[in-house]
Amino acid sequence: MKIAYKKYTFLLAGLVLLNSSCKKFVDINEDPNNSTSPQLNLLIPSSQISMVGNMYQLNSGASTLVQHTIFSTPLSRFQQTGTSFNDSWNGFYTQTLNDIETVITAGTTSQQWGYVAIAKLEKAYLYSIMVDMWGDIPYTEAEQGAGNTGPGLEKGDAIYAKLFTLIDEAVVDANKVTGTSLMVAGGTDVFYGGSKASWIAFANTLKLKMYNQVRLVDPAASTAAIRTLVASPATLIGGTGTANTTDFSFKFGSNASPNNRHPWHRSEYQGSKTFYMSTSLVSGLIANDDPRVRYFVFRQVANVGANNSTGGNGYYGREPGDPTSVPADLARRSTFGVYPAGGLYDNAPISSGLPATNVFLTNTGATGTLKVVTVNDGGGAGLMPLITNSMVKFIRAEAALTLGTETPAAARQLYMDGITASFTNIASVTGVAFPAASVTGFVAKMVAQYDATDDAGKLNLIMSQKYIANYGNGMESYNDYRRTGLPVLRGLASPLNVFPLRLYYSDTELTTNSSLLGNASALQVAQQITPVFWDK
Amino acid sequence: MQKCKETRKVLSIQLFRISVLLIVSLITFTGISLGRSLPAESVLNKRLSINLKEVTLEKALINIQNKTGVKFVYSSTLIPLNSKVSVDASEEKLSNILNKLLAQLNIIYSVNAGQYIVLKKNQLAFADSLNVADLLMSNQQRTVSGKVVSKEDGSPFPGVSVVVKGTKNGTVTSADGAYKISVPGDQSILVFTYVSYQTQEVPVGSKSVVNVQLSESANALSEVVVTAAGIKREKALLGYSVTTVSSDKLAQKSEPDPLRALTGKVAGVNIQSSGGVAGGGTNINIRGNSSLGNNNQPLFVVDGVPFDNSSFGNVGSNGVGGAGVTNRAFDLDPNNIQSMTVLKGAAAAALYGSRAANGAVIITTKSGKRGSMKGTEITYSSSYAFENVSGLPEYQTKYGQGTNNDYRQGVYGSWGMPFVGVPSVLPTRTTIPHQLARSFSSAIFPEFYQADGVTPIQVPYKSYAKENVSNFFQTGNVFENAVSISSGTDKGNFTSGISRTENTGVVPENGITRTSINIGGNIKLDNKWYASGSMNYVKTTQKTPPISSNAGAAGSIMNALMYTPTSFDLTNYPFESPIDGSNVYDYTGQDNPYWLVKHSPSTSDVDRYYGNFILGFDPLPWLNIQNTAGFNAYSDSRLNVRGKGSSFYPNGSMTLDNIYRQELDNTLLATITKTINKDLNLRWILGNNINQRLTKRTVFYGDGIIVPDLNTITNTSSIVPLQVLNNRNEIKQRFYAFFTDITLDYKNFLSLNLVGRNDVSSTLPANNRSYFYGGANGSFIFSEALKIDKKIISFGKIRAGYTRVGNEATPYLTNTVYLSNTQLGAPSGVGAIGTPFTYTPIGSTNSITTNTSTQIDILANSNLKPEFITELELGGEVRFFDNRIGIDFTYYNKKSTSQIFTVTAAPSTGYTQQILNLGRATNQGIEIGFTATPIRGQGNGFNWDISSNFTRNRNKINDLGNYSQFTYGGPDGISSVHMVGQPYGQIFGTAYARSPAGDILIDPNTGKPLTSGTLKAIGNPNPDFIWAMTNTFSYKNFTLGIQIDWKKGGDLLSNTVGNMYSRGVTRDTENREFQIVSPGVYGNVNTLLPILDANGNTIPNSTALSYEDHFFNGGMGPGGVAEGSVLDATVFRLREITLGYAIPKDLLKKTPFGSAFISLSARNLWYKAPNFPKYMNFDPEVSSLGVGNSQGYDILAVPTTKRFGINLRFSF
Repeated sequence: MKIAYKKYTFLLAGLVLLNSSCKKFVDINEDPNNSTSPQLNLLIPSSQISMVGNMYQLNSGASTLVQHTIFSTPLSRFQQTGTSFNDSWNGFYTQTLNDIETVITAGTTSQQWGYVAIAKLEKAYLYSIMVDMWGDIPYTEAEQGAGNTGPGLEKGDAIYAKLFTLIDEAVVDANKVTGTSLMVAGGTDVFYGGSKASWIAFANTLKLKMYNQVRLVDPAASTAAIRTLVASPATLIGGTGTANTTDFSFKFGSNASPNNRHPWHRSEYQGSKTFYMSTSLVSGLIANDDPRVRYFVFRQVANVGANNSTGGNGYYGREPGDPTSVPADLARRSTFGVYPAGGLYDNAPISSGLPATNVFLTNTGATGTLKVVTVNDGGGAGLMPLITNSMVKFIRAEAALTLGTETPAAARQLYMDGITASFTNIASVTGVAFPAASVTGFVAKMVAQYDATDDAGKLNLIMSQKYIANYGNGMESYNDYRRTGLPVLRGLASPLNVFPLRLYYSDTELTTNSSLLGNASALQVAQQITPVFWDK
Repeated sequence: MQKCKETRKVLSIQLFRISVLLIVSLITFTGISLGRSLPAESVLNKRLSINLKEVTLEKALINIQNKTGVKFVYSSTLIPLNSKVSVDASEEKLSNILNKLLAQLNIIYSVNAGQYIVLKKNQLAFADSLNVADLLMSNQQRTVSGKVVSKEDGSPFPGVSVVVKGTKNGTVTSADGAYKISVPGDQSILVFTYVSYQTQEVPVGSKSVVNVQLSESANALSEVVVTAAGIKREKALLGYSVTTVSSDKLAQKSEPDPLRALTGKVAGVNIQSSGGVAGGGTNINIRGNSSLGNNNQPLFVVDGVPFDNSSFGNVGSNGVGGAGVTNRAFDLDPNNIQSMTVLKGAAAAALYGSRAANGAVIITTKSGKRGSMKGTEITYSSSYAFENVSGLPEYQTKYGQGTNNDYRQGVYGSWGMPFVGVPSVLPTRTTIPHQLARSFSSAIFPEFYQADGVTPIQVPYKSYAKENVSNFFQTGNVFENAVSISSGTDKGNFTSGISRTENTGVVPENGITRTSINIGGNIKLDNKWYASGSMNYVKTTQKTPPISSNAGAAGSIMNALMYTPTSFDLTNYPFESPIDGSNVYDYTGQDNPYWLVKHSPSTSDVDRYYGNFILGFDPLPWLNIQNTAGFNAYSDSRLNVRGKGSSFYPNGSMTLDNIYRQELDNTLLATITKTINKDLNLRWILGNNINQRLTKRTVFYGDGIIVPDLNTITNTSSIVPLQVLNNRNEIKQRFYAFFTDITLDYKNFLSLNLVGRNDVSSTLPANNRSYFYGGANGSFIFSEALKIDKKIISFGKIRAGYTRVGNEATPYLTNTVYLSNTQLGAPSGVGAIGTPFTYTPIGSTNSITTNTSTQIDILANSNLKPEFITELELGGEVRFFDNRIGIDFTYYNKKSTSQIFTVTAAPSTGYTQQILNLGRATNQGIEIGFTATPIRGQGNGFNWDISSNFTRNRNKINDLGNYSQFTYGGPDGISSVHMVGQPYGQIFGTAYARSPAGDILIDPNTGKPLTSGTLKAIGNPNPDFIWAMTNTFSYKNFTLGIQIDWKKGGDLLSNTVGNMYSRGVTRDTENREFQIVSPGVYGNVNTLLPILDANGNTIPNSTALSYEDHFFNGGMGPGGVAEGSVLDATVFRLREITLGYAIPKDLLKKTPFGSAFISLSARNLWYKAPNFPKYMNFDPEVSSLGVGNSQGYDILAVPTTKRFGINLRFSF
């Protein structure tokens, strides 16, 4: 037995030895595939791309509500669900804002103020849009990870107030970068190539847009702030001209793999399709002799008409709120054109339906042909117009008209510049020029209508032209419509609910956020009928 | 007579003791030797020291067995076990010792079958001990001979004890199963007994040859099972429930998937296949899901080495989805499985540690089996089976394509006009323009147009519903061939086998083949060392067209197949363009299923290698040291093709996915076996286990196929790497562990087993990575202890165990990382932007490429702790009336605590998922095994066995920390939810808005139901219980087995049913020419509260809907709100019928075959799901999400199949 005990001792000794040498053996839980430290120059472009990528669902849905396009039948009938906008909500919070907060935290520590300034401005912009869309959202308690697993909702007006402060902070941070025109390295900023001046213009313009957005609830504050901002128009997006070089627009690429194309192009330039063109918008453009319709819409078949019939002019889309089931018309329905989706320019003759009085939208020079679109048609390097020069001009015109922030003459000029800037933007993005005469001629025609009407009519014209110029950004038109009720939209063929005053929250949020779970269902359905704080 | 009675009593006690001794010797033998064979000569040459004075022979034999590992076989009635003997020897040969010992008692011995030492009474002395009656009878003695073979495979059966009933006269069969015995007269009865086989009593009558087939006894008293870490224990003494399924119950059942073959055969095990796809994934769980977030699949161990059963999902957007992906247990050939032991509880699995927390399936392969017989045996088996879809819907043949009772081309619904001749008030028509003329011009199909090339020709308006779908599915088949060779000598033995299985599915171009080669052997070295090893190579190739319709997946054959418009001639219309081969279909954006089959194959090529090397050493009689080194690795090369010319993606694309998975495992065991005193035996095992698992994966996406149907990634116009989930191409984890297992057996009716283990896992933070767990279990065989009359209670035991098992995490959950150039934006679809991002700024002509890095959206947990599962198991086993009726009952209560969850986080926290370490869930259940032999055949007589099992598991989420629910799984539409106080993993989806009284709220404007404002738990996929029964009848050479089963409850969200309802294709929606009013009350669309009348009462719905609207999107039926598609998946099934025939030996005399066995089998012959719509004929045994914790979804799954097979087996 003695021998046996000795053996045990050896065995135990062996095991103990083995144990101590095993620490290294199991020290392998650091992910060998991914970086463990944040890199600001890579996080900033990531936040910009993910912001726009995550907007696809939100923007398409909002565009449907304002009849820019028809993304989903239930939404076009004003019926929302908890999955209508969940991708956007989830993506904003978990990708975009997450990276933005990382940049702010890490950049502040390492005093990289250029990155910090960009991050803060993106944060202010995105949260302002989110408030506009959803009303009350998590803000102060958000983005804290394990620190707060059930962030509560915060009132929209409170968030707006904090955002104004945040924009000012960002400008201070930006001004800490001195001695260079670039705040960050050019290749790391998809929007402005690092230009400090552009970002400061963006900061000012964002404030302008937000103060205009809240003008109904606090006209005095809005008036004062807007007056200050428009006093130096050169420091706004677009400056004093009609060019689009400082637009806060996101330019997509044309690579299919990895896919950098405009989501609308990707969705529609293939066999299956999601969207219908809105007959409300398209017929309005044609009736108004607006040449932009050839940029916005591409027809696949020349003679298809309503309900997939033959004998139409090819602008076969859907009436907002049409409840009927979808026929097999994927190779026949009209689809997105060259702007903003980066598809094809429709330069084919329009066989019927063109008013004889048309001057700008005619078949003159219409030598193109139509085709069933395929995946590489047009290249897909489209545009997401977030805040454009044209929008700035219309905002200033609206404020001038309603708050008196600028003179009536200035308002008239801004209205004209807004239309011109829209044409300029479309032509420069697509590379397909308008005949010069058609731009000036169209503007002249529109300004004649402006001059001929009263203030209410003028506002209607401003908002209607802004609505057309906004095409591609339904979110801003959705804001404008709720604020002004303009332009007057078509009544729905078969609505399932009233016009949504706010969007539905993400189902994911409602079913996981412990501070919301209790009355999630009531909270959700109330969104449809509860106005956002600025909506009076 | 008084004396006689007493004798008999003594005899019966002796018999009992003998059998116990036999068992003990077997266990000891197998336990101490760990299964190696002991060649005859070396047995007798073995030297040992022994010093015994005046002990019983029984004790002496036990002593020798313990010291040498030999096994004694003897006739219970012949050997005077209570005689006192003495022996004193020092390092003497066993033969000498036996001579000394047995000579005292006039016993001679011989070595039989290379393994057993057979003790016999010396014939000369024999007569002296006979009593007068025996003496008288002995006058008429004559010799009877015969052969004993195994009923399962007809192979010779050596070592079977043959005794003339009521006498002390006995013998043992030789290596070829033959025996010869003297019987006193025609009234004699021969009793054939062998451990773990059913005892047979055969009246001799006037026969001189008595051949016997012995069949395995399902609940044999002395069954030996392989438990954790390869430790063999006698089942009777186990303190927990295990089930072993032998090869004959798995092989040759026309089921190439070893897991599916297991269905219904083991209580407590739930197996869910994913429909009728050859090589589809099979989900298995034991005693319910216990881990809330982690893997719930049991651990597979093949020949002592963990066997990876992963199911890797496809990457990218054109995958075939979960159901098409095989889980890798498929690489095991059922024909090469010797036995499968299911260790159900935590107690059974504690020694495997973390990974066996969900139970373990211990598989012994034929090549890995140790200790085969002397001589050479060649077995050839072959089987062929054909399969058909088991149930297609009964389609309506009265109405054609269209909506609103009107013909509408291109519409994928069949709510159109009635056909000519159908009694109806609606108008009809005789012809329609050729459907394909709508999308395809005369340039492509001139034959569809009149001479003008513009006007489509007219085709008859008639129903093709009966043939469209049934023509698409083909008759599949399974063809299996296997040869195995085993050969043994005194020093060791060798086995080798090759097998090939080909399964062609019911979906055209779907098939899987598996070719496996195995070799194994063991050798006994002279100097106390022994070694064994096995090596397996398996090649599995699978091909399948896209079959899954998961969100985001490309066109799938199942997308529209089941609801093809009834008036569309899918069979005869062309499916590809005669010009460029592109897709032709009347459903743009969706590919014709025939086209997909031809042009969009997904293939998987798996090369798998696994094997082990065992080296053992017996330094001391009571000490064994053994090391098992094992490896298990495979590479899976997948190519998913989306054909060029697809409507969904015309350019076509390919994804090449190379997966490499490797597992290395080493187990070192020291086993101490000691007899402490006469009644108390100890076995103490100390062990160490080291394990590493590695996965490497590289995925490439090739966009734009250049030459159609040339399926290689280089045939694409641009190739980019694709990121796998979280960019984790390489995943590695390790652990090491020390464990101990102590077993104390008292008098063979009381047993106590203690286990303890300490794991150190790489997946946990340094301060939490080491964790200890263990448990205790015991058993008490009261029938033995209380010496209950065996005729009434043949066997009775109670058992109890309490065990705690720790579970590690998955790797890399403890740190936050940043993903480079990953996909940004929406999780899938067109809002997902690929990076690096290349763009040309406005006003510039130079493009810029920007790289990105984004923080991972998983909230890491740097304080992760192991999760624990504790299980209390109580059970008992009683068998009555000579083992004719047996009941095995188990109750368990499994608590899972401090769970490691990956759950959906509130997005506003900044993360989509968070890793948590909390919660408590319980699984409580009962398992009842029932066996009976209503008719026990004598010899070749008629025999009827019933084996039945019942499983009922109730799981409940008790606590989720501060949370009330957690969602997990896929996006909305395929997600699951854990809710406090409710069962595990409920189906999560859109629900009806309901009034406080529970009535469905109806929108007064539309007559359709309102949807609740938020997602809800809408179904519980966990079945209420599972019951299965197998009846086995045998008569002479025939065996008939019938297995039926019944799965009660468990909800299924069936998209197939929902779609067929809303598309109006089955007879369920045939009666349609009326309007219906959905039950419910009017509700307010914005408040989701009932609208009340002036008196404050709810207003019943009175808005009528057409039948079509009722079922169509947003409608009342399963086509609308997800809740409406949730159905109770209760199903009755005739699972398996097999009819076997062992060809009589005399017919084989002129053939080279030693034995031959032929069987017919049929699987899944009939089922009935009573709660599914009648004409859908739907088989709910499908799971579209494949393997995982999200269950309860059918997303247009391929229907299940039924198979008929013929199986042949020859041995030479």
